[in-house]
Amino acid sequence: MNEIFSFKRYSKLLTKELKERRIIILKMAGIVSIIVLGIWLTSILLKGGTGVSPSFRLSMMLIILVITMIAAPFNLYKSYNHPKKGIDYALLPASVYEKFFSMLTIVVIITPITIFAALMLTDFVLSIITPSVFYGFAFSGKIDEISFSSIYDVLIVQWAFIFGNFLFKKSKITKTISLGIGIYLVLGLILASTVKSVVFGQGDNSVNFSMEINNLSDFLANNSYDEENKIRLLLYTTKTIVYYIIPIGCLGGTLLKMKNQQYY
Amino acid sequence: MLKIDNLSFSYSKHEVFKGITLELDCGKIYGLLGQNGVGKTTLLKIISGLLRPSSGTCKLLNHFTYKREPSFLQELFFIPEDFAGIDLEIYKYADLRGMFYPRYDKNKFEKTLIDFEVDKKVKFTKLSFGQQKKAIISFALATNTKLILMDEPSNGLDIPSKTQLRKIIAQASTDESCIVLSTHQVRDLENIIDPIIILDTNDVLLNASIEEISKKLKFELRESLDEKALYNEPSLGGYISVYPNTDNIETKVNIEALFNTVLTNKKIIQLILNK
Repeated sequence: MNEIFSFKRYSKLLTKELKERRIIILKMAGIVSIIVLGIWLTSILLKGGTGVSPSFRLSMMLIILVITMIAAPFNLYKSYNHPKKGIDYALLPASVYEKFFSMLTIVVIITPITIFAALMLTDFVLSIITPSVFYGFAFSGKIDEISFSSIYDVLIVQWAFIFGNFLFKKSKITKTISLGIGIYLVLGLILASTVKSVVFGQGDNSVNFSMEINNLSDFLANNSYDEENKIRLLLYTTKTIVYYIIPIGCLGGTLLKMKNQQYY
Repeated sequence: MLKIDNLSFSYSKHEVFKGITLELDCGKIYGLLGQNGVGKTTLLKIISGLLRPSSGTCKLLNHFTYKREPSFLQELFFIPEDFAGIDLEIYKYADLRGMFYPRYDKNKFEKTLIDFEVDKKVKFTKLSFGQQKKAIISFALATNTKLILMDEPSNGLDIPSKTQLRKIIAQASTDESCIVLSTHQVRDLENIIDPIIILDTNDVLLNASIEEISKKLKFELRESLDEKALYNEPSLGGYISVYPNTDNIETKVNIEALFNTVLTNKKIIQLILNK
């Protein structure tokens, strides 16, 4: 018997997981639809039927989608490392890789697609009912501007939350957010102090240091210092950490936690 | 079938097992007895792979249990003492999990549920603790795994259900399977368990069949307390007294008296049984 990964067992597991968790996924889809309904009602009741642009609706829906993607692991797999409730899943005859990939399939692919479909469907229906309020369709509002890198950015955050869900037993969301802020601050401080020491350490006051950095993404996206070796190295290092090491670490850490979870 | 070799386990600084060795064979219903806190649940969790030993090995059918490999998991079912079912109808729960066990018998599951008077269409979360336990025991027995571990299975069951439980477990036992029942309510299960394993702090005090015990120890009902006995236990009509069986007369083993005898005469009992 293949102890590592069997596609047949993975399919069985995915079927089981979907049948058991579909109610939660549908509830999440229902909640996000209600939020869209709330936006629609607000514009009718409080703003006298002022039109809401497709791009605004799309932006709102993407924010809702990101929030639900982050919340999905906590809603769907919060019990895995629970000393009592987690036993049922841990002892299910499937390998840890099959459990890991079925969890990822549900949390990273199926749930976001369902939520996105629910959002678009609600928007579509409301657009048909009240074309003056929800004019156009949300999916026509700058949807082509969503890039692969922005999806990847969201996935990195989601994978960090998946890891947090398996790493912490209690107050999972709070602890994950705190850890995320901690890592972000440490990285930011290292970056800022290195940039400062490189730029001002040269004694060259003619260097124009007016780059606007509001967040890490701004810094990583900036190419103004490509000629400066140390800063370029720092940029590559930071990019490697943020885009490769952290995501791989989160997924690898989740797999390891699933594999070595003890149920005291 | 199950081999535990020189196994040690600790919770942080608290040492639960120190180099225990134990073997379990097919075709038997083991009774795992011990005082509160000696590690009955911990041992069951180690056997089921939920805990990893600090040192030594625990192997079921040549699988290291802590690895939780699929071919090991499909031969084991563990029912924890405080089983909490999910928000799903019993029959759906069983259908979705049954497909992972190669010898799962749906008819057996439904028949056992009927014997236990549990409605398969009800959600676990709508059932009482005892009803949930009966449902999960029915499912465990229907999986036909080689090893079934039950932690305090009679807890939460009413008297008729305990009778039913004894009957169902006795029927479910086969030559290919092994059932381990951990309990501190010896009387609930005393007529079906054989052999008996008694755990003590850090160690296994006894692992012997009823036949072996009755050859080595004698259980008598006496009108008065006998100070020469290894142990005397007040009972209706006098005392149950336990003696070394020097005259080879086999008597019915009283498990509660045996348990107390073993606890109060650890070294003597080990000497007698290892003769």
